[in-house]
Amino acid sequence: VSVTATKPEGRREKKSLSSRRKAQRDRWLAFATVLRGRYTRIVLAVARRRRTTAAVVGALWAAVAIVRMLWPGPVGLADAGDGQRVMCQAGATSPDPTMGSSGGYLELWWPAHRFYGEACGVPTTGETYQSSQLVLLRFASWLGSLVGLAPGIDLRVLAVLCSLLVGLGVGLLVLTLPPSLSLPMRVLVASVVGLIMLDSGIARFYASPYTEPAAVLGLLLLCPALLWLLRQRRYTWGALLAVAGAGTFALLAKTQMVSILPALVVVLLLRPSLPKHLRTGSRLAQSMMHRSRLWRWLWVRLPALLIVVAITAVAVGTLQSQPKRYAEINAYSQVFTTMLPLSPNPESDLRWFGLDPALARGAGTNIYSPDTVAYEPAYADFADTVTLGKVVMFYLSQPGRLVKLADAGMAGMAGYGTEDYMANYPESSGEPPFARESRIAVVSWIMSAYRVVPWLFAVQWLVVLGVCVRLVRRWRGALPGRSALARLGLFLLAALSLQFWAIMMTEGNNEVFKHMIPVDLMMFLTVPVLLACWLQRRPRSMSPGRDDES
Amino acid sequence: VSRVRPSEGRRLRVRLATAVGRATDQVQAWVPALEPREWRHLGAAAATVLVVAMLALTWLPDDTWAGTVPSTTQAVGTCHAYDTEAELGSFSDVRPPVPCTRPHQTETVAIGELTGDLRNSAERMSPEKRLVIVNDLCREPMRAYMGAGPRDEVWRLGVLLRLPTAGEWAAGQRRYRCELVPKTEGSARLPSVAMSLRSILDTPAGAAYRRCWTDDGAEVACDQPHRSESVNAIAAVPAERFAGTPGELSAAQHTAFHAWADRECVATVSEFLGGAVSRTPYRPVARLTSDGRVFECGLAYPPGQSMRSGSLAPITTGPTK
Repeated sequence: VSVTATKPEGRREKKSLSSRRKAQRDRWLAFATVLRGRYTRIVLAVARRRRTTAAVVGALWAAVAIVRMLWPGPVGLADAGDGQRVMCQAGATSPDPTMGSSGGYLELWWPAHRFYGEACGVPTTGETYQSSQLVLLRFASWLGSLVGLAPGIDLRVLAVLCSLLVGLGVGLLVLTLPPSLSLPMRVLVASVVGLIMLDSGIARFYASPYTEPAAVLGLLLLCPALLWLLRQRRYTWGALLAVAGAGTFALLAKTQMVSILPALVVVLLLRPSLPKHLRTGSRLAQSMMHRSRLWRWLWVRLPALLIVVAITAVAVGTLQSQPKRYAEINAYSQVFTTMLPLSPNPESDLRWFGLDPALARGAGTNIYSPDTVAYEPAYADFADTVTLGKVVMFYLSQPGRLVKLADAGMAGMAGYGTEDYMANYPESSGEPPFARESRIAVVSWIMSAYRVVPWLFAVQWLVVLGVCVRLVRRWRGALPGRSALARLGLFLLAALSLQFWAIMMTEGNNEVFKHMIPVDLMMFLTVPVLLACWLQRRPRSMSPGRDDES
Repeated sequence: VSRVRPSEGRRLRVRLATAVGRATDQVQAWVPALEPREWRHLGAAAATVLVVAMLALTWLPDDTWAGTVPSTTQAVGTCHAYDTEAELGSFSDVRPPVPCTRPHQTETVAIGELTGDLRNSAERMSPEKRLVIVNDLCREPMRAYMGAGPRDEVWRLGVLLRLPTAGEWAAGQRRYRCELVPKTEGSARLPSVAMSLRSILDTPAGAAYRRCWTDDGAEVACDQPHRSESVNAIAAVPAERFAGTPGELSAAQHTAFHAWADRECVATVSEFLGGAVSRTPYRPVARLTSDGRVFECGLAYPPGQSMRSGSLAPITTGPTK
């Protein structure tokens, strides 16, 4: 009896257990549905507020950058001799009166100083070194005085300014990445760029007296400007101005940055920029449109042409005003620091240039070395004999040497973030002299693989080229916004190649890892471009007008 | 505000709204009525001006020429103060001079005109060339300015060549300036003095710029306790007789070396003293350099005496001018 009596109870218990589980599962399902609905609403709301999201993401990255630069203590890059030439133009000087040594610690405060005559500029000759870094320095000086700091430049203020520009760049990327990418995808791609910009090898320049911050921040801001421009069937003045402004800012940062000019010119003249109503609106317009194809081509690009002329004039002016002393130092570095150490027969190389072979004993020195040959009588005509044109001809006539030079350049690129003679911490940090910071070092960590095989850069270059060319061809004739990313990738490849060879043909191996920072950055930026291209591989339903502005 | 009654609050809000409305109307009346396209053009022009103005900060001139003194007006005996090594090493110096009684880093000891190729060059010389010719142009004028005789060694003082500025050079100016520079080893700050060094070696204060040696061979300025003093004379060691560095020579070789070299120094030491050294309590002493190839002559106190400060060079003039 007891057995027959317990069976229905057991079934009932089992039934109630399963119904409880079912109810629990239903509750979870309902909760998940609610969550999903809320997530969808959030995503949709965020998607509707693209500008707000861009601003929030930019602000977040700016905040991360500020924290990264200043907490738990400030970090940066100490002067090793090149800082004074720009800082003095902003009326500041190093607290350490000796030139060329960072003394093991970072000097954050550069007090105001009154320079007389030629005392400010290239050491000894006093020639003025022009750089758009002065724009940042002047703003840092003004901001410092606004917050009540003593006259001078505080590198922490400069770091904050650079951090804000990083945030601005990341925010603008969220805004300008093609809408064919969903908003989370755009945030992801822009955040990868933010991570690159905050990597130790790059970010420590933000609190330094060097000109690299203007170069890297100019390149960062150039990316969203180019995306805005390349999404347009007809370039508008606003997009042209953005590209011209960011491009000129980057181009003016360092003399070698002028090399990106051809890539900029090609992009600016890629598509028409004259408004349709002006193309045929006047007698002049009509006469231009009835001329040859070349004239028509030029006429419809008139606004961009004006900008190209202006940028070219600035670039030529910058090259013309380059200190002659630096031209000589670069020539010395090219021959004695780069060419001769890589040469199987240094005497023969010197003869090729019409120089005394006895100067070969200077191989491996720089002009400031104790064993420099710059004091030798045979050196007297060196500066007039070794010109950039002759150096280019030398390498072109010996392709094997060109490959060696490329190898040295890629090794220099792989030396990213490995400088050990410029301090990163101020003395108050408690760190040992010349201690290196690595608060965010994802890219630096990845670069360790490139240091083993520097030619991986060439592989990456070819992969990006292949992908971008394929995408440009695939989307030829489609909406311009579709191929904007691929064209940006091609621009980065062209600009970094020009910059690479400009460095290797001028200064060569001298402090190459520092000079290669803009090249490294452009190479790193190809990674988020590739990521965006991959995320964009599946066409997403969208309105044509959003991906293509005409 | 909290005491305002609701009806008054409503009236206040109405008044505020009215005021805002009027202000908006006034602003709208003030702003010219433009077509949307014109507004776009205005915005584009403003953005262009802004971008150009921002970039123009690159070329914003930093006025370093206000209050400068042309190179041509500088005179012998003027003193110059600098705060940085960059200023000290600059080709030209147009900073106003300071009184020599104030701390300063350099003092003009000579002014001259460049000649030959240096003068005819369209551009100033390279920094390396400047270093090559500085001794030819400035070393002897500096010694003469300090009152140094042939047997007076000038120690811890450098010499610097100043050229006209690039603008002055382009205008045909070829006048150069020699400056003497105090040097201090191991100091981060730029060493300075607060007096003129004109004829300093003719005075007891000149001992600070003479080279002396202690008993253990360390170099010190002669205003510090020392055993012997340099008489600015060196000669080659005959390798066939004494080959090796000071550490490599045996005691017998040392004795033989001093027996020979100390005699060799008699003439220069006597010249330093202005009379025969044998008539003084002092003695000539030869000091072998670290590479063992040359020896320097010095004037030493007798071995029994303790080390003393000050120079034994005859004082010919009064205190520092």
